Amino acid sequence: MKRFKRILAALTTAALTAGMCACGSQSTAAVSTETNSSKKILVTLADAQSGTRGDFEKAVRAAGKKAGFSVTVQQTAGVLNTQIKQLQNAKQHKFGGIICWADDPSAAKQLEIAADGLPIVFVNSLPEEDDLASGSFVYVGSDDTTAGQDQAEYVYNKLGKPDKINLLMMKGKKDADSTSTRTNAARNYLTDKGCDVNIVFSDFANDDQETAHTMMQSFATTGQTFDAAICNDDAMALGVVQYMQENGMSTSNIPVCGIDGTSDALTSIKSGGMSYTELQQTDKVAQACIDAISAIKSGGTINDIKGATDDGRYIWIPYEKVTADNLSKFQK
Amino acid sequence: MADINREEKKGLAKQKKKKSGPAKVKKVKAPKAPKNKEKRLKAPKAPKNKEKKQAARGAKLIQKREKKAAARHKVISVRTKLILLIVPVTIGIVAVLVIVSSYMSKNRMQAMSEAQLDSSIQNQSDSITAWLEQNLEFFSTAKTTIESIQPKTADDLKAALNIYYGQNENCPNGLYVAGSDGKYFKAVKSGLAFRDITNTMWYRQGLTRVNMDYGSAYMDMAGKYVVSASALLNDGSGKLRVISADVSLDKITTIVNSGTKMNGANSFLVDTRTGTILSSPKSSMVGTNIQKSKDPLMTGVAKKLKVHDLEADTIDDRLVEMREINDTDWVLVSYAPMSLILKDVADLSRTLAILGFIAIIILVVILLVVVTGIFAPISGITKSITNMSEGDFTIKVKQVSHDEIGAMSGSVGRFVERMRGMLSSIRNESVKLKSQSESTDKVSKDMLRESTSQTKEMENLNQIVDSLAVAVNNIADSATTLAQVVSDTKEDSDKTTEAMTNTVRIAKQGQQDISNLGSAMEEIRNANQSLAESVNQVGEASNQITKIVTVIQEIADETNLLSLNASIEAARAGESGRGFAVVASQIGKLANNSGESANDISKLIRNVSDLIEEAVKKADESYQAIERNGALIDSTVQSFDEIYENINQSNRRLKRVVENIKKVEGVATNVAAISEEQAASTAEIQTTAQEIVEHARSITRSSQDVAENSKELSDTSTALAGYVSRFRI
Repeated sequence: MKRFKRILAALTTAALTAGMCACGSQSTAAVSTETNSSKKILVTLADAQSGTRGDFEKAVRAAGKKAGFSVTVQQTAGVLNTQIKQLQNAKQHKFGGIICWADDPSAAKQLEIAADGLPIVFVNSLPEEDDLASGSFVYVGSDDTTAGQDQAEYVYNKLGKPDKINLLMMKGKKDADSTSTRTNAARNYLTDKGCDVNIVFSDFANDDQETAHTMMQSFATTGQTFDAAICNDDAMALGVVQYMQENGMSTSNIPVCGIDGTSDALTSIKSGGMSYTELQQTDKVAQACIDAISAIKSGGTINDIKGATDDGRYIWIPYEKVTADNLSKFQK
Repeated sequence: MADINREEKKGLAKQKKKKSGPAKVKKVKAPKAPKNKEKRLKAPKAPKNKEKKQAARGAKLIQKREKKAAARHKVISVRTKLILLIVPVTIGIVAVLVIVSSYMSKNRMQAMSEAQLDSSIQNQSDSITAWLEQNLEFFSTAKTTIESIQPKTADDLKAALNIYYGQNENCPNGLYVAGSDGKYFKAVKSGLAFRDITNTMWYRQGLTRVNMDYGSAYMDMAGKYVVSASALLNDGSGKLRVISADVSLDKITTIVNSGTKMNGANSFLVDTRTGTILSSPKSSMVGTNIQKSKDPLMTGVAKKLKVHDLEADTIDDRLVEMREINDTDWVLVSYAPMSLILKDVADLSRTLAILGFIAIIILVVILLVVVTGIFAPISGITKSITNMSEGDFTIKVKQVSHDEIGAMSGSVGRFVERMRGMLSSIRNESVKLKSQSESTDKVSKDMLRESTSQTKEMENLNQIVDSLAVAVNNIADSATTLAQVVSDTKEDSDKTTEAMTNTVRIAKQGQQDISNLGSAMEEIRNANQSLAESVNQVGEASNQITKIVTVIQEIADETNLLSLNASIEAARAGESGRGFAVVASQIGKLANNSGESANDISKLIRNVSDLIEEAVKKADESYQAIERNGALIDSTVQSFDEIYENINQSNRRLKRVVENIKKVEGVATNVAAISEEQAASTAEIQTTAQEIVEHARSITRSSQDVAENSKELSDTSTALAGYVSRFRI
């Protein structure tokens, strides 16, 4: 009888333990650490020719080299499928981690699946919050909301804190999150300040100077005036400036703001065209990418890196405000 | 003269007696010891009572202490303790489990509900966006087409617009175009009508863009809420033209109102720029300004919108999710009552609680049954042990169950049996012990008595011996005195001899000198007188001697008696008196010797007395002769010759006396010597007797100790018997 009791007790315990283990276990798309002894890092982005991307590519190569990684840059020409293929082949090519400037951030999930266990650091192209996970898929970038707010703040202050403002806005790509974020942030800043914002023009110029320029011509037909122009990026700002300068509009009275801090923009500011831009600290971004990939590659988190959020999914590198006053600091 | 002498002797003896100290005693003195003995005999009795009292007091104290302890720790049965311990603990655990699982499930359910709501709102948002997108593309395509056609005339424009009329069910009236001049173009079948175009929402907003996009919602001419997609139209006319198309919000409303994929959840759509509610299940709300609403939910949402906070929240007991509609200023708000969400949690909690309660009841019942079963024997054991503690070893305990408690029962039973056996043996032994100790006590008492009496006897003996010593000393003294007297007598007799010699000389002279008879006669008479006196003195001395001798005789008699007594006492003393008996007999012998010597002395003295009497007689006769025959000189000469002869005879006799006296002296010296020896022996005897007395005393003390010990033993055995009697076996 005693022995039977003992056996029964043992069986029950075993069953309970098994049950608890089963309940407790979760299937996670855990990042495998087998390949992560590799020192090879893949950087994938649309192109590395010029502008922010060009600067970033240079910076990330340098930072990667300094950290002892071997950095390979693959360009996608803006085609999502290319990027997906690149990620699919990454593991095969024995890459330890991926830094990805996503062509389409809404396809982040797809990209993650394509990476097949390799950790990804998304940069400058913000995926959905749910697609990020601490320790495996993180984001490095600069906060668009702050960018928009800074632009509006500049304008508001420049115009002497007016009660009413006629605002012209040039928006970036329609399907890019940053577009609406920057646009709304700027507009909300002004409305929150109690300013009556009259949008005289607001359209998607697709981050293209020429498109912006052409749109300005269309705008001109409406016969409206504007007090300031806030553009989602420098290219479009330059388009506006171009138009203004062609049509004898005072760029000093009517501030034109962009984001990116491209060399063209800086030049424009210097020459009195654009009034304001936001410079992404590309070097810091690149460094943060390398730091992040290094951290999560070896199974850690990014929480110790400067600018990281508490949930371990984002590293925000703040923009630098650039005006004519502090231009010299940035223009090399 | 003999009588006188005897009296004188007695008187001398008496004097000697007085000199030598305390009167010798014939009777044995009363012993001193008994007082102590009585005391000692009494002492053992008193402690017995004391001990009993002490024992009684001790028992009372123990009882008191036990009562106190019992009061402090009330006897709570193990069963009750177990139940009192286990039940609250179990209830606690079950309660904790229920609470924790309720809490966790509440959180889980809340999270799930949030996720569900989130997913629902996402779904709706996506639907709305898609729908908007879809229509916008249609409009964009139409615009692009028209722009590529570049209609030259109004009719061309209208024709183009006609193409797109009815192509989109969401836009029944199709696209329309208006110019800054207030003219507008629409499809033929379109029922639209406009007034004050340049101030319309669609126109004004259309001016702000090149690509078709939606503007703010507004109430159209028919009073319905619509949204227009408008933009600048580059139709080649060179005029400022805006193309627009209206989309009714019905579809959106349908999506909003029925797309909420969650029970009890509802949604509404708000235009954040204006705060207008574009669609809501409550049709009365449509078109109202959220900021002006009194509904707490609306107020809460309005507050959040104002600060651009679109995070999920709980407002007015409702879970609220908000989502921006892409490319618009609209926000879709979904909400579900928390009570609905929590209803499931409440159900779960209730079920868990009920189950828990049932479980507790079952557990308690099982516990009660099992515990009672296990602990049933314990009460029996407890009773048995309690009885045991009170001394009742007549109980019998049986082992029933085969667990620790059963083992306990068995052990207790075995223990009781063993204790019973042990106690009965102890009782038997204690009885034996008691009787043995009693007999020991008796024996020791006897021993004590005997040794005490022996000591007494010894002490008596000691005293006798002391007396003897005294007596012997007396004898010695007497003998010495005797010797002295004899010496004196000898002196006297020497003197007498001298006198006698003188007398002889004188007689001789007288014989030769008859002529001086008168004086000679006088001389003779004087000499005779002095002779007579001397003889008298001798006689006195002899009397004294006789007295002394009598004394000695008496002493010897008494010494004999003493020796006899001593012998008796020695005999009575048994072993320890044997040596003494020898000594006593020696004393006896000495006494006899003394007596004999005394007799000899008496005889000699008598002889001396006789001789002295004769001498006196003769002196008398001589005197008479002298007196008678004064004139009878011849006869005197004869007589003188006779006298001379007589005197010579007397001289000779006197010499004999002197010799006898010398003998007496010798004897007396012997006696003195002997007496000295006796005295020495007696001193030894005294010492020995003292030692014996000491010995006897120590024996007495030991006997006392033995008596005491045996008394204690007796008491102990009594106590033991008492303790044992407390157990019932």
